[in-house]
This record gives sequence, C-alpha cells and structure tokens, in this order.
Amino acid sequence: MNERPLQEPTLLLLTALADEPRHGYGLIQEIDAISQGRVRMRTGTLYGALDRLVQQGLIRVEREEVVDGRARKVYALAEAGRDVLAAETERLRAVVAEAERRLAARRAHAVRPKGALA
Amino acid sequence: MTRQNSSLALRWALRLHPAAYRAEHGAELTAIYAEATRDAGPLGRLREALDVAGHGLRRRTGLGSDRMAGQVLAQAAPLAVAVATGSFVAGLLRLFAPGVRTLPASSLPDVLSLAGTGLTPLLWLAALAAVWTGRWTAARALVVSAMVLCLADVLLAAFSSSGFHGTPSIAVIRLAVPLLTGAVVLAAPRDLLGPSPSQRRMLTGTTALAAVLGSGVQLVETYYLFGLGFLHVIGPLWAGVLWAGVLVIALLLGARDRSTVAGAAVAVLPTTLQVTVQLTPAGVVVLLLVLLSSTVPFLRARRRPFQSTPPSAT
Repeated sequence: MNERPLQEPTLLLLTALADEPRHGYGLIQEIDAISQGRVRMRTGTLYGALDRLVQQGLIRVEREEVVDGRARKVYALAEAGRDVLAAETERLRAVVAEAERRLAARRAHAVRPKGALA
Repeated sequence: MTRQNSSLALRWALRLHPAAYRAEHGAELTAIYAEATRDAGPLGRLREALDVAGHGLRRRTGLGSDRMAGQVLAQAAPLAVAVATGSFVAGLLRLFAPGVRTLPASSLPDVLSLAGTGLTPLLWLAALAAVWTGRWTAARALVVSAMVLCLADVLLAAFSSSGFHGTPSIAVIRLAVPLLTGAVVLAAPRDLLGPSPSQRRMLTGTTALAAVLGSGVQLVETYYLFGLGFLHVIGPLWAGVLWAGVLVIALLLGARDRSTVAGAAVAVLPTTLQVTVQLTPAGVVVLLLVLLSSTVPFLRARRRPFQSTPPSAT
C-alpha cells in the first residue's frame, strides 16, 4: 500500500464543502449533520484542518465577510480538493461494493441446503 | 465557568498563538468559538477553549497538521499506544510468573503499588480500544489517566518496602514510557487522527510484537536464564528488534513515505529511552539508530510546510 486514505475529519470537511462554500461554524454544524452527531469538531481542531487544507490547495478562502460585527471567512472546495474527494469516494464505493458482494455470497452460502451441489 | 471566565479562557488560549497569526486569525477564531459555545455549558466552553489553546501551541511549536512534524506525530501516536500497551501487558508476567514472589504486600503503599501495577495495563488496553475505534478524546483521557497512575505508582514505590534502593534511575525507567507516550498522543494534531482498516492492522501487529518481545525479556530477566552479562544486552536488543519490527509493520501496512519511517521511530522512542537509560555500548547504538531515524526527517521537514496536494498525506 503506497497511498494513505483520507482521515475521517478531512473527508468530512471536504464533503461539507462539496455542494457549497461555508464559513467556520457552518462547517462545524454540517460535519455534525453528515456524521449524524458522531463527530463534533472543535474550534481549534477545525482551524488546524482548515490551515492545512488551504496550504495543500484542497480548499480556498472564497471571501471574507462581517456578519453581526463578527469577521468570518467563507471556504470553498478547490479543484484539487474536488479531485481528491472524487477519488476517495470512488475508493470507498469500491470497498462498499466488495463488502456487499461478500455478504451476499455468505448469505447465499448460508441458505443453500446441506448436500446441494453448487 | 461563567461567560466572563469563558472569554477570559479564550483570551488566554489566543495568547498562546504566535502574534502574527493571532493578528490575522484571532477575530475569526473568536467568532467561531462564540458560535460554537452559544448553547454550551461551562465544561463545553472550557473544552472549546482548551482546543483553541492546543491549536495555538501547535502553531507556536511547528507541530500543526500542516507541518511534517505534526504528521509524524499523527503517525506515531497510535503506534506508540500499541507499543505501550504491549509492553505493559507483558509487564504483568512479573506479577504472575510461576515461582516468583515479587511483591510482599505488607504495607498500604505496597498494596496500592500492586493494585496500580495491575490497573495500568487495563488502562492502556482501554486506550488502545479507543484508538482502534477512532475515539481519540477518550483515548487521550485514558492515556492521561495512565500517566497519572504511573506517577502515583512511582511515588508510592518510593515509600514502599521495596523502594528504589537509592537508584533514582529506576523511577526514570518506570516513567519514561507513560510520560513520553502521553506527550506524543497529546501533541498529535487531532484532525489527522482517525480509524482506518490499515491502521487497525498496524495496531494489532505492533501490540502483538511489543507484547511477545516484552514477555520474552520479562522471562529472561525473571529467571536470569543467561546470566547477568546478558541482561545488559537484552534490553537494547529488545528495543532494536522492536524498532525494526514496528518499522516493517508500518511500511508493509501503511504508506511508504518519510513520515511513516519517522512515525515508527517516534513510537518506539519512549521504550528505547526506557531500556537505554543506563547507557551500555549496545544501548547507545540502538538509541542512536532510533533517534536518527526519528529526528532526521523530522528536523528536515520542520523547516518547510506541507507540500502541495497529495491526498495520501491526510
């Protein structure tokens, strides 16, 4: 194995930005929703990940705005991030398909009557 | 924690960031913190502030996830927990080895020390289970508990009948693995940590290797199978084989890159330091090997931020 799969926080962040740009707290809420409440990303962790992904060119700062007197940046998925997310989605799809195939084979094996020929 | 204390905690957390970074990002961090803690209780606000503080410390020390050093720690953290777990589980042999009467629990410190020796591997096993399932918040709490327990155990041992017999290096030996492993786990950037099938295979292999090697050393030390001279060699030999084994496991099951090599070395560094604290020639060789393989790529990478876009890097 030569390629490291995306870690879950990164995958969730890229997924949260896949449909539209979002600001920091919007990302925290979206990740909470996507993971069905399992992952609650905290401010410092989120910001560390955003720093890294911006530096890697996977996301970009789309605009900066002030809402209710509070400054915030709006982040968007960059082209490279879209490619990485698409590749990871494909990898996960292949894993899911293989898992389904094996489970189906196991089920078929389990219901086959004893002594029946294949 | 009141709202006022909460903003005070955030101010302190922001002060931990480098000044230039704080000037550029402080307002946004404050805004995200305010929104994230809008409905949070005192504990929630404190945890959020601690997370911001951790981010500041990582920025200041160059251990952020955008730096290779942070990546190396993220590689090392799960393996370090696996090595520590295997070693502590192997340490139980000292309690249960047939024909060996190690702890005459004649006083309260002795009894508590004995209880601590039995409880520590359980805490590490629980931490390993948390890492296995990707629950890093729980893993960190368990590792910190194990660190505290080990500190208490060393203090108790100092007052117990067995004591350290005037050799403080024994205290260093007993504290090296929990404290250094804890430091690696706490310093690793959270956004690079998570469960994956390849990581689980690495955890299994590394824990088994550390447990088997550790058990072998315990048996040799317990029964003095090869005489006193061999005991000076077996510790460094164990550390060297452990380092090579963890490296092979990491390269076979993980990504074959610089951070994997350095991560494996950082993961075995606490154990290596533990067994080489009384420097013998063999110990010096092993210690240098592990230090070189961990620090050379570490220091080279620390000077430059993460290079563009390989998806494999996250």
